[in-house]
Amino acid sequence: MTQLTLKHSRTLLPSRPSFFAPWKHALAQIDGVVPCKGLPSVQGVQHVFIDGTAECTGTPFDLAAWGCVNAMSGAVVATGPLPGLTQNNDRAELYAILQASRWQSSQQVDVHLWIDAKWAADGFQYLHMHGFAGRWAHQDLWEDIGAQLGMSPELPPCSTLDSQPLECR
Amino acid sequence: MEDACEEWVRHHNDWVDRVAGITNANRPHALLTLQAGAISHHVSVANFFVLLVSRRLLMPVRLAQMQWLSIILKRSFPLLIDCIANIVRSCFCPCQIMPKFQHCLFPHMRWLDDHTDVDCDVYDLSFEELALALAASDFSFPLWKPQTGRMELVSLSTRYEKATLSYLFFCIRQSFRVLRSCCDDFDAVLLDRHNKVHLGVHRPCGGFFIRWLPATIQLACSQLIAFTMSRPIRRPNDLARPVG
Repeated sequence: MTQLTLKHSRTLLPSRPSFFAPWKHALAQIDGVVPCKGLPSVQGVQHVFIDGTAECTGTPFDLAAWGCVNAMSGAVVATGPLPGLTQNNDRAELYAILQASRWQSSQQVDVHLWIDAKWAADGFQYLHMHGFAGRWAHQDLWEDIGAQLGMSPELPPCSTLDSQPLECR
Repeated sequence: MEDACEEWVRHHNDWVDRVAGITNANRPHALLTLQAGAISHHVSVANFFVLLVSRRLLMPVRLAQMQWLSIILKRSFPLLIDCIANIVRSCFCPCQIMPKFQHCLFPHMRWLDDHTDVDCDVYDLSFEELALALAASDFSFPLWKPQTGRMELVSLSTRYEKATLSYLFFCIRQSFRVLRSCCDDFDAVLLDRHNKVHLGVHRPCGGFFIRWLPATIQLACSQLIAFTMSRPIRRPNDLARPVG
């Protein structure tokens, strides 16, 4: 028969691990405000590649990060860890879109976003066309992106291309 | 020309992928230590449940073991209880009503809810408190339904004739006996001689440790105090009074 460990025998089934609260506090302290770099060195449309990544540990304890690079200037626009308690690849992709939109708004340049997540590209285009997001997952980030688009009325049509399959339009 | 363009896109896509990957790997040492501990704990708990299930329910589980394994390893802790409940349901008299009740009961008590663990306290909950708390939350118990002529899961509020606390107590204790049968060390987990005199129960209480929100614990306590106010529980007969 199975022997219960001391941890399991003190409280019914697995106890709350002692690191849960520090883990959440550590995630809550991640700063989402990352200074943007990569000033446009050439005139015209800036091709910005964005991506999000997350570890795949198979547990609820993944960590995610995102990045934006400007292909025209060859510089990293911004990169950083994903803030918030929910850490996954999808949120990292959306956070990268949000940061790229902020950079575009601050630099007042035409931007061509490239992203390898088709669902995110489709969602962004929908948001751009209709002005609001649907009832999708990660609604908070979609709303932030929508607010960012709304704050910059001068924004040119920001065509988002999916690079999976990699193609150039 | 097209190849060059594809190559250009691929090159920059790989570049941004590397940038994000490096950022993700470059974390504070304290956070990585915390993560390693968390993952280790998660895996050990998952292994424990696999062991728990496979030892006791070896034959029925063998066919679906890989499926359960993948669920247990990929999802978070609360779902482990669902797994146990599902297996219990599938292995113990699936045609009877009690397994259905157990199937509803265990997920309902997600004491390891990820969203509330910071605020939760460990509490020695008695079966009497749990029965009254469930009755107050309109939980469905196995009761005779005259319209269909058989036992069904029915909410107490829909009944003209109220169930007694004795019956609700019996249902819950039976459910935990099934869970207990999965492991011979459950005596250390379940309470059988606990003092609840301050709630008006003047006999050793059975129950278990649970992690609930303080408000829920308060509800359970207040329900039991209200029940024992006019007549304390001293013997099993004192439970035989209608609830609600």
